[in-house]
Formats: sequence, structure tokens, C-alpha cells
Amino acid sequence: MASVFENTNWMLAPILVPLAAATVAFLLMGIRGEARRNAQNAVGLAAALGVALSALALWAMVSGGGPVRYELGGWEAPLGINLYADGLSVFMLITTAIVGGAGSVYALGYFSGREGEDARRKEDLQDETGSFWPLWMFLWASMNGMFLAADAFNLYITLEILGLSAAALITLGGTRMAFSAGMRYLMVSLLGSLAYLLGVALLYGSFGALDLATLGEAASPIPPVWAALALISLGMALKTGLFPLHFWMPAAYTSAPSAASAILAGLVGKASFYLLLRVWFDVFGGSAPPAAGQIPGVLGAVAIVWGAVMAMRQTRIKTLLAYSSVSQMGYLFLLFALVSGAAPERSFEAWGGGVYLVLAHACAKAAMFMAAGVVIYSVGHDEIPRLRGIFQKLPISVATFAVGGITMMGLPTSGGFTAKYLLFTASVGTGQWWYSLVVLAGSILAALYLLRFLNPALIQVPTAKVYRDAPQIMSGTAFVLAVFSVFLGLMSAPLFELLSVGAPFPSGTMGGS
Amino acid sequence: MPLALALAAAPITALAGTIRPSWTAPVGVATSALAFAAVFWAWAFAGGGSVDFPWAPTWNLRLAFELDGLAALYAMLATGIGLAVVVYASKYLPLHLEHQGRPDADIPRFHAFILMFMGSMVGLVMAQDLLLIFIFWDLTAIASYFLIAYDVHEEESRYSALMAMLVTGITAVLLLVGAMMLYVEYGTFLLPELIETAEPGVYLTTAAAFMAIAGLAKSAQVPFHFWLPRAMAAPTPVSAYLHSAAMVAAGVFLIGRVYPLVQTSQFLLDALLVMGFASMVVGGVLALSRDVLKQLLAYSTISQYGYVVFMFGLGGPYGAAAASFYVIAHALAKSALFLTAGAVTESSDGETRLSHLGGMLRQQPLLAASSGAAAAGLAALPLTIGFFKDELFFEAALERGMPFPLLALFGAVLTLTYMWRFWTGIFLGEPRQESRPLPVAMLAPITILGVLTIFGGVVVGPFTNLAEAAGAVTFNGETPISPAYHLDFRPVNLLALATFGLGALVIISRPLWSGAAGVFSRIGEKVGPQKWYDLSLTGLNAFSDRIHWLEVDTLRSRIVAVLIPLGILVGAGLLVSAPAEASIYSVGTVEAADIPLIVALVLTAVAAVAATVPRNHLTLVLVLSASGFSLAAVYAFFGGPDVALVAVLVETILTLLLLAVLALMPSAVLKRSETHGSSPGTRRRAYLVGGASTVVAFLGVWGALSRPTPEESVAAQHIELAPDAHANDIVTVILADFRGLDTLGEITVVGIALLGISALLLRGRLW
Repeated sequence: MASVFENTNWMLAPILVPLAAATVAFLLMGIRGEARRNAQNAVGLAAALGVALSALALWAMVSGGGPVRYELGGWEAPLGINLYADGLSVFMLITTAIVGGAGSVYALGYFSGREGEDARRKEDLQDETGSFWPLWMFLWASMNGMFLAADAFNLYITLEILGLSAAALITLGGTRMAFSAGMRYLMVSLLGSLAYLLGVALLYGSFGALDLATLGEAASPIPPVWAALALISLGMALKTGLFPLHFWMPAAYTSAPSAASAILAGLVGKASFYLLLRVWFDVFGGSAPPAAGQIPGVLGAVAIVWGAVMAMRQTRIKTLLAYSSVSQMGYLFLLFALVSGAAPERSFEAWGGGVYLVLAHACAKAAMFMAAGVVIYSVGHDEIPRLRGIFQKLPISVATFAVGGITMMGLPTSGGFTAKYLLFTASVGTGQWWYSLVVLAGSILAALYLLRFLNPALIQVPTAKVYRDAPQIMSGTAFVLAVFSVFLGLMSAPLFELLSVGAPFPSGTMGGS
Repeated sequence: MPLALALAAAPITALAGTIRPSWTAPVGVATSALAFAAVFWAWAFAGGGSVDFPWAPTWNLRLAFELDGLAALYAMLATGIGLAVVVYASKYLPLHLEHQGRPDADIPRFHAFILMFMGSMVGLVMAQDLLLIFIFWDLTAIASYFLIAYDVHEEESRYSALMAMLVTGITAVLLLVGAMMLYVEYGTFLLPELIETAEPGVYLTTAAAFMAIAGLAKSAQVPFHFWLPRAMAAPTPVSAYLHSAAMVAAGVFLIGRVYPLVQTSQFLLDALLVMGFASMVVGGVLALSRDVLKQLLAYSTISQYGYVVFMFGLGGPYGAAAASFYVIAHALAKSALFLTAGAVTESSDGETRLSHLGGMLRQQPLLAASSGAAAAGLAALPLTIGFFKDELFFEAALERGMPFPLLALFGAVLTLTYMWRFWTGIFLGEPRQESRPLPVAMLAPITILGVLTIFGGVVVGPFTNLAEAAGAVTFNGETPISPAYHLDFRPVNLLALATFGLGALVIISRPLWSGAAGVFSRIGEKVGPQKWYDLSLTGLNAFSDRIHWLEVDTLRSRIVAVLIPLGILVGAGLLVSAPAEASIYSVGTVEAADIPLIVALVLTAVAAVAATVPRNHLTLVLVLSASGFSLAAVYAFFGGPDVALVAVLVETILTLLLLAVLALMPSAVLKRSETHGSSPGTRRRAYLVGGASTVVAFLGVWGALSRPTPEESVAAQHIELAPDAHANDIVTVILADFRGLDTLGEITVVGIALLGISALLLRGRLW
């Protein structure tokens, strides 16, 4: 077995499998009707399986032999493009494999909607054009490509594919709102990528290389590096939706078809965050002063509170979830402040906590958006005041919401707990205890906004009419994913072991004194 | 083993309930009886026992459970009283649902949640790890949420359930904070280890205070007491359980569990004294003024747990053990009284007010006798277990010295008075209501609990042992107590006699003070903590609404929000990192050969600025392309003819495209935007954006150009290695070989754009 995993060609699989699937699904768009859907579904599921398998293979490879580098076309860096997989890359690949896999299964049911049963519906549940699968597969390929890329310009390309396909997915609903949200996202995404590209251009101009490792060695605190850091950070913060640049998020996540919302909220926002982590620590690790980390840290802290307070008064489930994402994304940015704190031995804790929240939040939030999709599928809308007592009709979806909420609130045994707990201890340990207060406040506010929906949903009153039953596969997938997020806290040990491979910080003792 | 049984009870019962609703009650009774038997056996014969295995070793988290004295006491209460309540509910619940016209299908839900409550209580009391304690703590909160909101169709139930959940849930976070603080400092969540290693000091006091506040809120101590009377919206068996053995008891339990940490600080003990006494008084006085049976009992609970907290505050071995003893005595009596209240209400067709009840002694002699025993127990009459609870209470107060015995006396008198009011109000006087006979399953638990109260007053040994064992855990040392009857005039007996005497006086003088108690409760409603709770909730909502208006804004102003910070960041970076020799601020020389280049650059700049002026769209397009073409000329001057050619191509395509779009646009739209000028605000914003982008671009370019060209660049290697890649021209090699993956990516980008547009415009009809 070992010899199989030593073959570094595996590294191409997570990119090529969805790319090939996208091309096939694209060609299949020529067929009409039921046959096309079946064929595309099969291709999509096969790709999901392939990504999962290759991610597992890479996991075995990386945890066995440390970070892996693959020279594309045999040209070594910095001449050609390299692919590079360390613990963080594989961790992100696993995240997309889990959430993307669940999203693919969910989409099987989601797009099986029949036409014309209720004119009031908020979302188009049909993918008449068959464009979902090719777009989603392109998106997946670009994310996996980003996680494996070791080249600054290559990262830009993946960023472009990501932004374009995500914008197209948002407009898939075909409604007026979806169109304007998609346009807005496209602008934001282009602006973000452009800022990134400018940063890369500055770096290339100064050091004559694009390979991340080469850049990391060469980078020194000179004006262009500063400008590049500012440009790249701002671009990525915009695409990740850090306060106050989150303005595109609520509309985008709400107007996209729920199958796409789950993927967007779960994965797409995280991809640009990954890029930020990569660049910030691998390239600018030595040249950025510690105080710089306070800027994203403080903005993250504001985002936690702002998003949660906004979420409290939303009247649609999906908008509520979108603002909850604003809040949860804030947690991720805390790590920039915490790793640059006074206690370097806490750095891995903060970094690992933030990264772990990426996975935990991706699972929980995707599951919750999927549950919202089930509600829309069954009832035709997701307006909270009109969903009183919906628990009687859609118990599994409400339960999904509640279980996913455990991670949002960061209660024990959930992945969210592990992550927030690490952020908490890191903030106390580095003497920046004010961040620990924000972590806690976010949890309490999360409980409040989740109860906004759960409290009315659980009442036993005559409830909204369910005019068609959603396929079991939709609610089932959502529920399994939510439950998985709760168990993430229990199986964190192997994942943290993986993360420590090639991590920018030594993972000595975690937690404790 | 007992834990597994207790935890399994709820799922088993729920399962039985889904198979056949009528099985729920028997199965629930059986499983809770089993759980009680297991706890009893494990404690009495197997001598405790513990489980301990690692859970998440990375952070030293362990699943550590131990059936120590404290755990045994509360576990027996939770399972024993749980058993009584489940038996009672098997008859009560069908009656209750019938009154409300609800189907029997709601029965399994009740049993499942109450057994889940029981299971989480057993888990809570046995857990040795603060994190586990927190998990079970939250489980009890969730179970109580569903139980309080059991009558979901009533607004009051839902409001109360949410309030209970929020008050106990938010304070539960403090428990977590305390646990985290200790963990960060000492590296473990295990209580026994913490107790050994923790050193007294401000840090420990703060952590212990956080945990104690969580406990106080859950046991409804002033000022968190307001949720408890509201929680009376729950069905009666739930109230009985909540008050005597579960939710509220859990709060006191937590204080008992972390007491070794709490007692390191005299300040905390004094704070407990104050809160305990305040609860004693507030609860007692309000109990005197309540008319609704369950409300009276609820305030009595606040007052009674005030005693326990007071005793914790008194400190010392006596305080710790006496507190445990008090919890046992109170649990037996209070559960019986709540069940009595439910029985009275059911038998009198839903009457809940004391002022409409009376003379039930003749109608329900057995109920009167059993509840009389329980009431006597709570009021601490001799020959009941309650007498000893007060004896120990007084003794602990005496040990501390004046003025505490007097405070204790005050509390005891209050208790005696409101218990008298409760029992005589229902059972003495003229009958004012019809009374139907009650089923055995409802009377039996009350009778057994009443008998136990008396039994404890005669044979106090077993209860003492249990309380001593629990006290030893709480105090972290031996706590011998010796409750007994002494027929002499020792201070304890004098205090007891004084209680009875003063109690009689207060009862006789009722007309004198009943008005005052009423005023006190009305003041509480006006300015009490519940008001603050409501205010903070509505305030939070209003705040959320207000910031919503800040959020809804246009895309354009958001772009400003992106560009201005960018300018500031880049500028700041440039200033901070500028080298000291100020070489970046020097300007080079201009030679004659540079003049055409400068002309082209100036042309570009002028065209760019000019693009902000015209209103006519066609002019705008032409000005923009002028800027682009002159930039192409700049490339050509720099010796990049191929780049210049590409730029010309791109500019041409872009211009044609824009013209085509303009041709397709409805002319009315174009006209309107031409004739309607933009508002001054919009224009200011536009200038701001323009200025900011200019500064960013200028600083970026300046910073980049003032660097020397890098010595090694991959470009040089690309040129060198082009022949090796079997090509003569470097662009081909870069696109097709060196950076082939990027090319593939760019092709994909084009494909996706096509796909997205086709999905939007052509409804997917690519072919």
C-alpha cells in the first residue's frame, strides 16, 4: 500500500477529477430532459467520490512523509508551477470533500423539483439548463487547485475560476434578486482578485519569482511588500466577507439556490480565507510586524458581534444564516491577532483553532442552509413568522438547524467548541483576554439568534401548509452533516496531527499551561 | 452502571412511546425504578465506584465519573423523586391533557423529556470533569425548556420556557468561563486535581465566583429568582421535579461541587451569605402574599434554597454537611407538596387559587394527612426530618456567632408561617369546592413521600450518613453532624422554640402584615430583575433594528468602503517601511530621448481625467479608448511591441463591445442618465473614490519602481531554457509549458463565463 501513496501523481487527482467531470457534465448539457439529469448526477457523484478518495490518499501521504511537492511538467520552482501539499492543504481538501460531497448528494434531490406547483416559490428548484453540475464541478476544481497551488499567479487563476463560477451559481435561481446579488458578487469578486493580482505583480516586480516558497525566503520589509500585503489582505478579506466588507454576503447567500448557498457559505468564503492564511504566514511570515495582525483581529471581533446582532432581527432563515456567517467568519480573523501575541507557544493553538473552525463551520452552516432549502422546497418560502410550528411537519430539518446550532454556539463535543476553545485559551494565554470576551459574547448571541427561529418553529400551533414533500435524501444529508459537525470535537486529534504537518508554527503543547 | 441505566431510560421510554403510546408510562416507571435501584445499590453495597477514561487526550479531557457521597445524594434524589413523579404523572397527565383537549399522543414526549432530565441530572452529579459538568448542565437546561413549554399552545408557557432557558443558559456560559480560566492556569478540568493544585488568590476567586453565579442562577437565588415562579407554567409533576430534585437542586449541587474552590475566599462566602439571606427573605415574604398554590410553593423554593446557600456561606464542616442534609429534607417535603397542589387542582376541577379552596380535610383525608406531614417537615416541626434540618441550620449559625442565629430565626419563622398558610388554606375551614376522588397512582407517591418525611424524623441515621458523605465531598474533609432530639434548653432548642412561638404570633397577626407583603411584591414587579430582563431583550432588538439601516446601502458606496482603507493601508505600509536613507523620495533625470514617452504618458493621464467629464455615453467610450491606445503607445516605447499589439487589440475589442452595448440599450435609458446629472453627494463620493484610487496606484507604482530590478528573475531562466522546451519563442513556452496549468485555468475561466452567460440569457441553449 505504501508504495501507492508515495506516488506524487495523486496530487493531480483532486484538481483533475472535478475538472474532467465538469467538462463531461458540460458536454452532457446537450442532451435534453430526464436523461441529462441522470447522466449529470452520475458524473457528479463519481467526481465527489474521486475527490474524497484522493483527499484520503493525500492525507496518508502527507501524514506519513511530511509535505509533498509536485513539479508540473518537470520544471522545478521557481521556473515552472509546483503543486504543494502540507497539512493545511490536505485539511482543506478534506473539508471540501466532506461538505462538497454532501452538497452533491443534496443537489440530487434539490433539483428534482417539478414545475408549476406554487407560484409563490422563492427559488427555482429546477435546473432547466443543466448548468449546476458543470459550474459546481469547475468551482470544486478551482478550490482544490487553490489548496494545492504553490505559485502566486496560479493562485490568482484559481481565484478567478472560483469567483466566476460562484457568481454564475448565485444567478442560477433566475430570479431578479438572484441576478442582482450575482452581479454584486461578481463585482466584489473581481475587485478582490484584482487587488490580489496587483499585490502579486508588486511581489514579482520586487523579487522576480512567483513561487510561494521562493517569495517567502526573499521577502523582506520593504515598501512593495507592504503594499502587496495590504492589497492581498484587503482583496481576500473582501472575498471572505470580513466586516465591514461583508455587504455582499447576505444577498448572495439568500438569493442563490439553497444547494448553491450551502456550498457558497460552507466552502467558497473559506477558500479565500485559506489563501490569506497561506500568503500571510508563508510569504509574509517574517516581514509583517506583529501589530499588523491586530487589524484583522479587531475587525473580526467587531464582525462577531455585528453579524450576530444583525442576525437576530432577520425574518428569513437564509438571511439569518448569512448574517450568522458574517459573525462566524469574524472568529476566523481573530487568529491573526492571536498568533502575533506575546506568547509564541500559543501560536499553533490560535492558528489551529481558526483553521478547525473552517471545517466545523463549513459542515454546520452548509447543513443549516440545506435544511433551509428543505423548508423552501416543502413550504415554498423561508419566512420565519410564517413558519410557526413547522417542527410538526419538518422535524428533521428543524432538528438539523438545532444540531448545527450547537456548533454555532460552540457547545462542547462540537467542532465549534474545539475551535472556539482553542481561540479562547490562546487569547487568555497571550494576555489578550478581551478577545476571549468576544468569543463568549458571540456564543451567547448565537444562542439568541438561533432561538429566533427555533422558538417559533417548536410551538404546536396550526402550521403552514406543506404542499409537497422534499425528497428524503435532502433532509437526510443535511441532518447527517449537522450531526457530523457535532462529533467533530471528539475526533479532533488526528486532524490536528495532520494540521501540524508543515504548519507555520510548532505544535508543542496545546492547551494547558 | 447507574449512569448508563439513567441515561438509557429516556431513549428506551421514547422508543416504547413511539411503538405504542400506552406503553410509555409503565416503561418510564420501570426504567426510573431500575435507575433508582442501581444508584441505591451502587452506593449502599458496592461503595461508590468510578469510571475514568480519556476522551480528547490532546487537551487532557477525560470522561471521569464517580459516585461519591455528593453524587450519591443527588443521584438518589433525582432517581427516587423522579420515580415518584413518573408514577404520579402516569395518572395526572391523561387528566391534564383531557382538560386541555389534547391527544394522548403528547404523553410519550413528556416521559421522554423528564427521563432525559433525570439522566442528565445523574450524569451531572457524577461527573468529575468541569467540562462534562457543563455538558450535562446544558442538557438539563434543554430538557427543562421542553418540559416548561409542554403546554405549547399557551403563550405564557413559551415565554416562561424561553426565560428559564435564557437565564440559566447565559449564566451557564459563566460556568464554562470559570472552567476555562482554571484550565488555562492549571491545565486540567478534573475537579479533584484542581482542588489539590489550585492556590487561593484573586484569580481562583474570580473563576470560582463565575461558577458560583451559574449555580445561583440555576437555583433561582435573588436576583436571578424571577424565572422560577414563571416556570410554574409547566405541568405540576414537572414543577415538583424541577424544584425538589432536578433543575433548581442542580444549582445548589454545583455550589456544593465547587465548594472547595469557593471556600478559599472569605469574600465569596460572605457574598453567598448575603445572597442566601436575601433569597430567604424575598422568597419567604413573597410566598406569604401569593394566592396561586404553585406560585406560593415556587417562592418557598427560592427561600428554602436561600437557606442552603446561607449555610454554604456560613462555612465550616457544619455548614457543608447541614446544607446537604437540608437538601434531602427539602426534596422530600417539597416534592410531596407540589404533587399535593396538583392533586388538589385536579380533584377540584382546575382550581388553583388558595382563596377559592378550603375544608378539603373531610373530602381527602389521606391527602391531607400526607401533605400535612410534608408541610410539617418543611416547617420543621418535631418528629419530622425537617426538625433536624432546622436544628443543623441553627447549629451552623450558632457556630458562626451573632447575628447569624437571629437571621436564621427570621427565615425559619417565615417558613413556618407560609407553610401554615398553605396547608390550612387548603384543608381547614369550610369546603368551598367539589372534590372528586383521586386515583391511587397519584395519592401513593404523596403518601410515601409524607411517610418518609416522618420516618426521617424518627430514624435519622441513614439520612445523616448520606449527608455526612456528601458534606465530606463538599467540604473536602470530614464533616461529622449529629442531629438528635435533646430534651434540654440548649441554644438550638431555644431557637426552635422561638421559631414556633414567633410563628404562632405572626400567624395570628396576619391582618397586620398581609398588606405590607402585597406592597413588597408589587414593588418587586415594578423594579425587580424581571423588568431588567425584559428591557435588555427589547433593547437588543431595537439596537439590531437600528444598525440594520446602516447595513442597507448601495454597491457604489461600498466600493468606497473598500478603496479608502486600501489607500490608508498601502500608504501606511509605505511610510512605515520606507528605508531611512530616503532613497525612495529621489527623482531621476529626464533626457531628450524620453520626451515621446512623456508625451504619451501625459496623453494617457489627460484622457483618464477627461473621462470623468462627459455626460454623453458615446463621448465617454471614445475618451476611454483614447486613454487605452495611448497606453499601448507607452508599451511600444518601452520596447515591448508584442505587448503593445496585444494592448491595441484589446482596446479595439473593448471599444467595439462598448459601442455595441450602447447600440442595444434602449435610447430612453441612455437619455435619462444623460439629462439627469448626479447629485452633489454622489459626485463628492465619486471624487473621493477617484482620489483614493489615484493615491493607491501612485504609491504602489512608486514603491515598486524605486526598487532595483531583482538580480535573479525567473524571466531570465525562461529565456535560457526555452530551447530545452522545444520552442523558439518564449511566450509560447511560458503559455504551453512552463506555466501550462495557468493556461488551462484561463481557458476554464472563459468556459465558465460562457456557461454562466448561457444559463442566464439563453436558458442554457448552447447548441
